[in-house]
Amino acid sequence: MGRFLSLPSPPVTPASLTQSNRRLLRNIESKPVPSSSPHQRHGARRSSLHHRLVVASRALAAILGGYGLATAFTVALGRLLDLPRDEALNTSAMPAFLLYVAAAVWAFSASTATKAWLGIGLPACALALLAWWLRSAPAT
Amino acid sequence: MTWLHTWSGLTLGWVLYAIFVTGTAAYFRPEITRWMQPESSGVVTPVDAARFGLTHLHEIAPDSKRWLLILPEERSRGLTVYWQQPEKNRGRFQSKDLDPSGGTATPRATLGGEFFYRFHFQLMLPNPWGRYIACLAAMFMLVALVSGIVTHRRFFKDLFLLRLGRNGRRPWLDFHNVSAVLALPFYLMMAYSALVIFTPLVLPWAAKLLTPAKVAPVALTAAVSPSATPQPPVPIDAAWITPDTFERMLAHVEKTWGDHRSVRRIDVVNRGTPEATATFTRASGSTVSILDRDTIKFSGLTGLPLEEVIPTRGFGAHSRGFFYGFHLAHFAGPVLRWLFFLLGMMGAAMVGTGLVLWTLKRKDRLIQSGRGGRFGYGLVSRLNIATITGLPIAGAVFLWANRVIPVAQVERAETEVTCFLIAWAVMALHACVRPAKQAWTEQFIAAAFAFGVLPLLDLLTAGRQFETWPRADGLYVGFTATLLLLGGLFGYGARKLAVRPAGAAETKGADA
Repeated sequence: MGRFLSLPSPPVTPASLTQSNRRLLRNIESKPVPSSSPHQRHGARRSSLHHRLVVASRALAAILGGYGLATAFTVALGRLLDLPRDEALNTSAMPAFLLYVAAAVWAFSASTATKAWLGIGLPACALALLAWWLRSAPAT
Repeated sequence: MTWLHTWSGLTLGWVLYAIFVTGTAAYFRPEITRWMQPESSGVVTPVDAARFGLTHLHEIAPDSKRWLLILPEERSRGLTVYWQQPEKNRGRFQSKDLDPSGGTATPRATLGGEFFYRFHFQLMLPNPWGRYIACLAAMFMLVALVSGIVTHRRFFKDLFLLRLGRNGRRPWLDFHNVSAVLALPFYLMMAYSALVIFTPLVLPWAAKLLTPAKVAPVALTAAVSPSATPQPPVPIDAAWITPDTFERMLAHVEKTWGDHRSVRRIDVVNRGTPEATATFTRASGSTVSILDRDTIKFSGLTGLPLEEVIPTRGFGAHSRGFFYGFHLAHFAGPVLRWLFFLLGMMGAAMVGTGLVLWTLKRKDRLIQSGRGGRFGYGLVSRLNIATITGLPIAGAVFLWANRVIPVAQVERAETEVTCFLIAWAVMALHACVRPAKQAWTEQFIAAAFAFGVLPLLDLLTAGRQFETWPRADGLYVGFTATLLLLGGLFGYGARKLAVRPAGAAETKGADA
């Protein structure tokens, strides 16, 4: 996974530019121009497939990873707060939704898909561990 | 970020549009019901209505375990009774609308404003699925809003940038931006509060994992212990709650709450068992939170109020109550409700123009490249027509059906919904078989006609039951004006579409 991992951004070039011009531009810019236009989809079928897989991977990171993160956060915070169930759920779910949105945005703004997964997966695992560690906290 | 904005907005865009439109209509849920039931106009106090409803339930559902009564209040004149069928009928609820004044003209069977309200979050799908999709749509909308904000750094400049005169997609983009920026806090609040309302549904595993948390075993034994001491046998009649017992409860409620903001809802559970209770809920007041509602719970056996253990409500419950109440906007007076209505219409317009923009951008590229991506483009542009104009037309047909279908028709309420669905299907089919531009124009004309002629139809049918017409009030005037306005908007759009050259404009974003 390398430079293809970046996301489609709006077409910075007029669509009339030839493909070689696009390549040139891609080299000039630090961020590669994505292969989202119909030209390139047909021109470079393999990279197009790769690109789609990367997008799918990021989407999964956003939807599933973000969901896992939100759930882990809710449970961890809910157990930390030491409140009755409904109160704990209500209190900790509210920031969790914001975290979910942030995770989705992160999944598509990280420079590579691997980073997108790590940025969501690591905190989710840490929170899950915290939640697991708090599971046997004695009832007060 | 632009990519994320485009695709998070597009993927569930049509669902979002439908949710916006029906949710906006649902701000006037009681008013729509009243318009759709021109028969019920008798004004009675909630307590009298309760008396009437309870007597009626004693007649039609004497052996049901659970009753629910929704009583008339300031905005809704109707009385609806619900009763649960026995287990062998899968415990389904049945309902009936009554004329609370005890008049002979029973209101016609219709879902009324409830249809739009239910559609808003259930999408006419089997139970949890519509809600799941609605929650997903709310999350997608939040992501689209946040990524949209990031995309538009020139936030405040955009607010004053409306280049309507120009051709092409510029006016579309500007309108999309302006409608988004103007009402951004409203959209953010609506999408977020939708998730907060459905918290247990959105995070079921979190709810499950948090369940054993600190439920002290003491509480469990306390709940179990009463059954250890044998209860005195209960006379069988008393357990079904006699009319006299209800009378005692009503007297208590009348004394406690008085006339202003009286009882709104009566929930009778466990009839026929020693645990029979009736919970009276007061009409919502002017506070935003739904938690601030008063309730009184009575024992079904004695008719005396029960000492209720009021759960201590902390930050979480209060915040959720606030978001919940804000979303429903029951607290809003007429002015604020109309403002919410306008904001909701702008939301629909924002989603609609966003969807249209997608096709306009693709169109440019398709013309230049001449190949590829046609299927996606076709699909989106057809879905756009079928939703942006098709849904409002179907909604208008729903109102037409209400006036056209005979009052005595069997399964009348269901037939109205069938008409809605058929109309929508026809519009979707029409969008597929006609060239896009013609399809847009024709559906705009159809929408203009469907809304614009409705007041006339209403007048004619009201003439048929002329006794209801003199009671026309502010509601009828407001409703008629809104229908004419919608018809006018669609007519304006149709005219714009018709005069423009084919390439210049593809659509006019619907405001319904």
